[in-house]
Amino acid sequence: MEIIREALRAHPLLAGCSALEHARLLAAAQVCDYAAGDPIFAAGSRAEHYYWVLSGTAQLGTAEAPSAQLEVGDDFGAEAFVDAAIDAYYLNDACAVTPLTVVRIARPSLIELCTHKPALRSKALLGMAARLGELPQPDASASKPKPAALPLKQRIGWVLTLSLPLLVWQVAGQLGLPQHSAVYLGLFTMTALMWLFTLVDEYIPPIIAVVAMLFIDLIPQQVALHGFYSRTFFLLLGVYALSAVLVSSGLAYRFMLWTLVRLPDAPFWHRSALTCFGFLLSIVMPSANARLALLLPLHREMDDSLGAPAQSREASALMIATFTGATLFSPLLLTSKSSNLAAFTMLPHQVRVDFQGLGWLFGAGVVTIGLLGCHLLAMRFLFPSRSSVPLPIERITSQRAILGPLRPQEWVAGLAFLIFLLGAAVPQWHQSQTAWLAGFLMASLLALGLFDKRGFQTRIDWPLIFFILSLDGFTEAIEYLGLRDLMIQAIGHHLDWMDGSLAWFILLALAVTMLLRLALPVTAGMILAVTLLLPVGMAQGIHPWIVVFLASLFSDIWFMPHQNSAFQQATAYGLRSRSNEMLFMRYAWWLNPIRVVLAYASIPYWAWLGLY
Amino acid sequence: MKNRLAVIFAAIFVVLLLTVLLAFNHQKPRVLVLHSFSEDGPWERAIDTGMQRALARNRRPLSIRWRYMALSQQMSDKQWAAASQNSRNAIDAWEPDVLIAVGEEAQDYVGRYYAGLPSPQIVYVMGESPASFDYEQAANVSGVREALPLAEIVEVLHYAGPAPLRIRALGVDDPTGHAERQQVTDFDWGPHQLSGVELVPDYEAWQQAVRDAQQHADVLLVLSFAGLPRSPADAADIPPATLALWTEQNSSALPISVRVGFVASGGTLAVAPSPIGVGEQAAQKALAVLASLREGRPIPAPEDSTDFQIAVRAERLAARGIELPAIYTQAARASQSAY
Repeated sequence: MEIIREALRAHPLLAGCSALEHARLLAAAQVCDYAAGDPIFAAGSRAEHYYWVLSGTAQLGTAEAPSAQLEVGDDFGAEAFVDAAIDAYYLNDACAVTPLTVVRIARPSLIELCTHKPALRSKALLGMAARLGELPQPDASASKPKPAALPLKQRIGWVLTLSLPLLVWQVAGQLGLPQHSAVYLGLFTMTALMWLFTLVDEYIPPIIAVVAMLFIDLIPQQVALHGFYSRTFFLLLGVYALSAVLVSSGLAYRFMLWTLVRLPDAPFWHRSALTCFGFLLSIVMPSANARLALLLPLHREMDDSLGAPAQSREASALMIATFTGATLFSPLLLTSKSSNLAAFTMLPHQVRVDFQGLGWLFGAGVVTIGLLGCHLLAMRFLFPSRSSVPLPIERITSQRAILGPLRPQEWVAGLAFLIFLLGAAVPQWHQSQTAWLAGFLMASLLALGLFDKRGFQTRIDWPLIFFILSLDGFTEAIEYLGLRDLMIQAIGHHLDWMDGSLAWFILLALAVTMLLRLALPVTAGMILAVTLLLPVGMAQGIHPWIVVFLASLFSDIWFMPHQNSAFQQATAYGLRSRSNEMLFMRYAWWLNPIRVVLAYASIPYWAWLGLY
Repeated sequence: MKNRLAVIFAAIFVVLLLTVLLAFNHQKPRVLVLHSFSEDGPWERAIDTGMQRALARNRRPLSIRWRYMALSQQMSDKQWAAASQNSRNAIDAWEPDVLIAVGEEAQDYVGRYYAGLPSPQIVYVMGESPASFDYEQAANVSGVREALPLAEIVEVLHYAGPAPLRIRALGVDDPTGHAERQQVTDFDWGPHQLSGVELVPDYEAWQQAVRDAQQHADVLLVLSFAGLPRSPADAADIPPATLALWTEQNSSALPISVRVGFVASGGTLAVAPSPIGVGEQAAQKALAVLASLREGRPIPAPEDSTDFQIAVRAERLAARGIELPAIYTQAARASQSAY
């Protein structure tokens, strides 16, 4: 471990990295030995690692055209620095000429490093280009991938998007709907089709719809841009700023390392630690993908250290714990899911006041305890560990040593997090709204320079914020244009048989949300479900928060990979190579009926709270 | 770079969407609201508030523009003519379906040029008779005549003293004043007596008229007074507060105005057309005109304004020994015109 630490400090490219970055690289770095003549990688193979020579000699180039000799201190395999959006392949063969010792760093860590230090990528690739200039050029045509054809699904999607909205507009007009309703239905169809066929990024369709509605004066700007002057805007900004500072200051990583050292060194506790981190991140990160992106490197470090065989139950359990930690709490906290925040603006004022902060978690108490209990029991009993490999405490200690004592920015980040947590839990002490507290914390972090202009530009998920706030205007228009009343009229007395029964309403919410989620992504699916269910629920005397919560809970139900972007993210990260996909999916599927059961189990609790 | 076919589809989508939106906007009805004066006048602001209230209930997409001629007594004839021409140019360029012309000046300098034409349809808002602008024979004209609430004033006079009371009206010698004089003289004041209507050119004449009224009247009906020049030599407007306070202090006859601003500036009592109500009625009329055009029916007939507003200054009312029933003071309070 000390060898790698010294090598990182001495490496010309990586020497300038911060202590936090060194600590992370330490977890991703590995010392490898090769005998003379051993191949290291072949031209055209995936560039998974970046290397540099500690001792011995390596050679770049093909056997037919041997070229550059690499001595101590030289690096190679810089193709691994290439941007994550591009498949990276080695451009040359590399082999050991003499007995060789190298340090290698895995590509995901390099990509993560380059998101904060993009100059590193340029330097590494420039160095590689300089070396390639001395080498014979490989056959570029052989490795150049052919441009992929547009999938049939998207072709159909575009054709429908170009034609169906106009048709819906015309038909709705001919059926006697008012002009404004017909136009809205046309725009709604356009938006739904663009989501359904994934024609553009998820956040774009509602922006197009809102701009179009403003362009033709279908709704006034106060309605279309309602979200942009709602408290949700500042809540989102504050939460993003806080999460960015927690990560960039290194406090989140330090806390994870500290927890690993403190917890008992047993598989159950390793998994529980990942789940616990997920919960803590859920408080300030309204995106499961962002949480997963933060947890996956930690998973990789633990997975590498524990060395469980690929596809084994142990390896699968670790991935399940990571994935579940990032996603399980989404419906349980207001700030853990962007669609919760979007739906929150649709609630009546008093309900918003009652369920901001930890009020939401309190309302979701039974589901929280149930889901967490089921998950922990499953981790303990369904995935027993056959071999107990200890965590590399020496390495973790070394990582902590690199980080050194708590720095001022970590103190401030921790303090800000605690203030936010306390402010959300006990709003009496600040006598204001949680959203304004979040805004104040963001302003403070900006003033203190912990969250700078660059962070403001890059660390806030602006597309997601615009998505949520545009979606708010898009759904507000339903109310403004009187479509909600039309919908209620259309439903008429068909739901009278429910007679305000929450048991039946849960079933209705489940059906509506699942049907929408078959086609739509989580945020859009949940918001549309809330839009449809809220008036029905309120007409049935169901508490509006329960309606939103049920939609949030059931929108997390998924069966097929396309329904869950976090799963796709985990797959891209290498879920299939390390864990048993069938085990993983089976676990995810079992959580689905548990969610429904827990919703029913909450009925007495909600009755006790006076919500039902 | 995205797939070429995807880019082509996206480009077609963008062009098609823009085309549809542009086409929609071009077929969308256009309404131009034309005010005689500037947008910062309390009357104009209240009229606009009323219009926006009615338009907020409308869900059918419309293009609405506001234009203010900003006419004033300080402007030369040439400037008035230029303001008139500019407004007509704006109308010719934008081609609104409905022109809501607010004030006699807007009719005189703009509206009447379009009377009898196929387009735009004119919705007037004014106190004067439509006949003054040749509107009566025009098929494209409707509107709301701002009717002074004279019947309501007679009701209030019941508490001012025993009938018959002698009433003298005082206003400004301008188109608005002429319109109001016509309504006052046409009205049956029984059981009271109208002893005359005097329109004055400036503040000096106003003061003299107030002094003269003491001999001929028990009630001084104060008509619109905005834009009254100080003197023949000084064209600057007299501040409303100066005029209202002086009138209040120097008139032994009970001053009752047809403008809320009179009480807001220090007067005792006003029974006035509600500008918010007039604005709301005018916008509703414009929407009705658009509906008629859509359905190929003749445009709806003109109507008089229906809403009125009470303004009282309780302290001065008490000083004059007049006690109004609570419903008047509460109505004034409800419309935020109890001072």
